[in-house]
Amino acid sequence: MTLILGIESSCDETAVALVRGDRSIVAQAVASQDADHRPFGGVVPELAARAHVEALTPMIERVLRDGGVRLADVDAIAATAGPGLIGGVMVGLVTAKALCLAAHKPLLAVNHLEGHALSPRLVDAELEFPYLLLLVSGGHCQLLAVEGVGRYRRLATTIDDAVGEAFDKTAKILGLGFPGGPAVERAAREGDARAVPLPRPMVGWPEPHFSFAGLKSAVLRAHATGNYGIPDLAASFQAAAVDCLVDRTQRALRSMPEAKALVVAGGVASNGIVRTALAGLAATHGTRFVAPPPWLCTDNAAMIAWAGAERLALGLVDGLDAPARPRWPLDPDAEIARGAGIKA
Amino acid sequence: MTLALVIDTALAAQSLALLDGATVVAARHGVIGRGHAEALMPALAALLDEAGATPDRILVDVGPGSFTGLRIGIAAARALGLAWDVPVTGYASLTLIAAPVFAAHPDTRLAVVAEAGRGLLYVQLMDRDLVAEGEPLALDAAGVAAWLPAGVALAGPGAARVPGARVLADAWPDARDAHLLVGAAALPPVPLYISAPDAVAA
Repeated sequence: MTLILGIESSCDETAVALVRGDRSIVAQAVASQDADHRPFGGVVPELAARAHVEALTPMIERVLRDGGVRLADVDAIAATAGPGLIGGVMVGLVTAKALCLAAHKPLLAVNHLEGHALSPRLVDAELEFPYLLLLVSGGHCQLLAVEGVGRYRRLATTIDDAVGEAFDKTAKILGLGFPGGPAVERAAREGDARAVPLPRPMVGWPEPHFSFAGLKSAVLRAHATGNYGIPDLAASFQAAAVDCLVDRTQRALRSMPEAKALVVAGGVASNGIVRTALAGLAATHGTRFVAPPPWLCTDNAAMIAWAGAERLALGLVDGLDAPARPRWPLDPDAEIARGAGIKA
Repeated sequence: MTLALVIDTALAAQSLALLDGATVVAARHGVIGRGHAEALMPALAALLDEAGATPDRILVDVGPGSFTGLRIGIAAARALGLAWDVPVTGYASLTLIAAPVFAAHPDTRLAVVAEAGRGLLYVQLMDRDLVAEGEPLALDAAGVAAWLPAGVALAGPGAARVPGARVLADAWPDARDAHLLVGAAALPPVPLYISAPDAVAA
């Protein structure tokens, strides 16, 4: 059975995993750098790169040991080659290349977004192409038609902030700390989601895209009035963000009748309210709903190893000159959305 | 024979060598500027093919130098060390620049410089045993000129930019010179950054 070593280092998590082609996870580790970045209220790229180079090789040794595996037993090595913070991506990719060179293994230079996009298939052997994917994280907010390995059609993207970015900024405005997603979700549990009137940008619009900048600004203004408590602001923001996600996803579901499932992935997919709302939407639509477990939604190396396994099965291996790419859209043919950031 | 692989991507040069003592078994040396991440591994593959043997140890430049270049060389060295199960040790970029200068001019009093980016130069005094005096500084060319003690010559890339200095060499560090590092400090394979990241606490 194929055995893949996966490496992820594109943002603020250093992660290593050993995954088999039969979907079993032999061993894995994730080291979060949250504590390093917390004083700065966001991820500092140079700090992240410094932490990755320190942490990565010892973590690979530990994961191999935990799995009872020698490097020689591995069939291929997969590493995130982008998109992401280039300093960290280079550390992971160069490490993978050096392992491949020394141990004579094929390299799989994986798109981090493809890792997220295919991650549901790691935990759900029944999930077949095509499916509709809502990919939501701190850096991305997209709806994609996933037609096969390496075949993605972007249906919508954000024209300004990613939804996870809106969670992080809201947490910063409300003084809830970093990372913002879990902090907002926690605070919202004590709040009334109808307490603060907030806009739902793009909801009902014929354009397929997302927008969250206006919602974040509205939170800032509502907070400044001093009329609302933090839990109510957090709950109202979360409800507005979820309404936006559901509306845009519903529109995409209607435009993709061939979809065999609605799938959500990315860090924001670990939010319980987001999952519940999307499960409800899928049920209304009579579509299967697949959400990977929360640990697989946030950045990890098991999804990179799995995407590598899917690519290896199709013979899609890469050379030792594979570039590290700060920007790497899953659908390079997608039209530029109005105002969309270059990451999309 | 003990084969040492030397990886130097700290500065604009990508310099690789396989050394058996002072004998250069194979080498690649070129000034590439940026692009170490893409160029390093194909060059290493060609080097190893040419030698047809697996190294017994790895030496890597740990800085000071370009932060990205340091991380690429060190990440590669550490991963190769893991895969081959061989030891990895670091050396300071400025000692590798100094080593051939002292070989040619043994009685010189020397300060070594290297381009630090943003117009700055790393600079450090070094004795003929390759023992550095104090920590490396990052100064502009005029700052180096003002700092430089009387009677001390300069060597290293960027030395020619220092007004009034006596320049003995201005070459990039060359992996083929690593056999001259006998006696220089063996450092752990972690980057010597010199300066803290540019980030301000919220």
